[in-house]
Amino acid sequence: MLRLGRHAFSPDRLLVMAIVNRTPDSFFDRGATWSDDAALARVAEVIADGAEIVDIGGVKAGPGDPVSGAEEARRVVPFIAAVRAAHPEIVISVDTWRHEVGRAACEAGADLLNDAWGGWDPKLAEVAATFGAGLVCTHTGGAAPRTRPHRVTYADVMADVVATTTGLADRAVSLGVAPSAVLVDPAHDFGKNTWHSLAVTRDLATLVETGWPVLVSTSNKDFIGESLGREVTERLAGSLATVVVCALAGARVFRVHAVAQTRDALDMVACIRGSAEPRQTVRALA
Amino acid sequence: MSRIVGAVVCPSTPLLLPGVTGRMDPIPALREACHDAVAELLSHGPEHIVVVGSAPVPSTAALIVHNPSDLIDDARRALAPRRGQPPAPDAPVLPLAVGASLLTAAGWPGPLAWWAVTPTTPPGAAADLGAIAGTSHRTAVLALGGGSACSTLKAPGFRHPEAEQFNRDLVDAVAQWDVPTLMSLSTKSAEQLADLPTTMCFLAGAVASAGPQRVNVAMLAREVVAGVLCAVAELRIAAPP
Repeated sequence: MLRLGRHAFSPDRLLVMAIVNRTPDSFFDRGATWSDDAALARVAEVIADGAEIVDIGGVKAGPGDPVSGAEEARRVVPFIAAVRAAHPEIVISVDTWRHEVGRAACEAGADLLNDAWGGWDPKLAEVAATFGAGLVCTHTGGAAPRTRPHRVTYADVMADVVATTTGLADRAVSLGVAPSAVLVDPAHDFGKNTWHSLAVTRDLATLVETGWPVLVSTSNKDFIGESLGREVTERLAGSLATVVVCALAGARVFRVHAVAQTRDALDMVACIRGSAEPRQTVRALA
Repeated sequence: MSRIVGAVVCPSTPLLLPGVTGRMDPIPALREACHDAVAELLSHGPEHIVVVGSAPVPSTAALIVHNPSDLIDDARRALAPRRGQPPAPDAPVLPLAVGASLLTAAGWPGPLAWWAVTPTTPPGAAADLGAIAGTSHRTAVLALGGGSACSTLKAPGFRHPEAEQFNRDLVDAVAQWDVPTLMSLSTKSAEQLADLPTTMCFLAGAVASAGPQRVNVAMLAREVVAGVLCAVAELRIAAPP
C-alpha cells in the first residue's frame, strides 16, 4: 500500500501527479501558472480532471536564471498553504532538492517531497522523516541540479537506476521515512540521453521488480521530442504512449502536464489489464 | 392438467447478468422492473419453475438445473472475462443464465426446468412444447426474450425498416394477450433477430394447457436498449368466472 498524505492507495491504483509550476520559465508551460490565481485555477482544474497528486515546483529543472532557496520558498510555500486550505484531500507534492524548502513546504501542508535531483541535498530525506512525508528517490546519474547531461555513459543504465534509487530509498527508510511513502523515479532525460531514456522505459519492469512503487515523469520531455521529431508543444501523443507503456510495466504514479488525457489513458490501461471495471458496457450485450 | 399459477416476461439481454455492465448500470429501471416481476412471480408460491428462452437447438424435454449459480458464473466469464479467471467451460445459454440470475436474486435456489425454443421454431411447435412443460404442481413460468434487434443503425441487426412496426405489434399483442398475433409475429422473428415472439408462443401453449383461463397482462417496462426492444410484463392468470 502506498501512503501519501491522508490517502492509502492500493497497488492497482494508477495515480496522476499533475505538474503545477510556480515558475516564469518552465520548458513546457512557459510561466502559465506563474500568478497565484492561475496556479490555483490550474490546481482546481487538474483535480477535476482526475489528478490525485499535485506537484508544485518553484524552479525550472533546466538551466536558467538562478533561483535562491529563499526565492524558491517564496514561490511555493504560501501557495502550498493556499492549496492545502482549498483542497484538504489532495496529495500535495513539492518538487525541490533543497531541505530548507522541503521543511517549509511540509510546514505549509505538503505530503510528499519530490527530490527530482536524486539526493543532492542529503538532508531532504531527514525532513521527510521528521514530518512523516513521502519521498521520491530519483536517478540523475549524479548530475548537479539544473544541469544538462553531456556525453553521459552507463555500462547498464537500468542497473544504475536500480542501484541508485533503491540505495536512496533504503537510506530514506533508515532515516525514518515510512517505507510505504517512498517512491522511486528513473528520471527520464535527467542525466540521460534519449537512448538511455528509451532503454529505461523499455526495461522499466526491472525497476518495478524491486518492489518500490515507481513514479515516472515523461511528460513532453526531450527524449519524446527526439524520438518523434516533435517540438515541445507537439508531444502529447508521444507522452501518452510512454504513460501506457510504463503503466503496463507496473509504474504507479505518472507526473504529467495533460491530466485529463492521461487519466483516460490510465483508466483504459486499468480496464485492459483488469484492475478496473469499464464504466459502462452495452455493446453486443443488449 | 397443469397448474400455471403465474407467468412473467423479461428480456433475455445479458445486460441483466451481474458483473457485465461495468461500473454504471445502463438499464437500472429495466433491471428493477425485472426483479419486481420475478419477485411477484415467486409470491404465487410456485412449486415448479419453468424458464423458457431461445437457444441454438429447441428442447425435446426439460433440462433440470439444480445449481443455477454455476451457469450464471459461466455466462459472466464468457461475456466479461476477468484477469486470472479460467475460461468458461462451455458456450453458455444466455437466456437460461439470465433467467437463473433473476430467480436466484429473488431467492429461488433452484431447481428450475429449462426449455429452449429458437426464433425459427414454428409457432405451433413452440406452443406444443409449452403445453407439455407444465406440471400438476403449482407452476410458474419465466419467459425470456426480446423484440426486434434491428431498431437502430447500431443495433445488432442494423436497422430494419419494419422494426418499429414489429415492436409495436409485439408489445400490443403481449399487452392484450393476443395469441394469434403473437403466433403470426413469430414467423418474422428470425429476420428481426427477435426471440420474444417464439417464447410467447411457448408461454401461450403452457397457459392453454391449464384449461380455460382469464389472462390479464400488466406491462411493467418497455425500453429499447442499444437497438434491442426489451419489455417486462406480468401475466395475471385466473379461472374464468
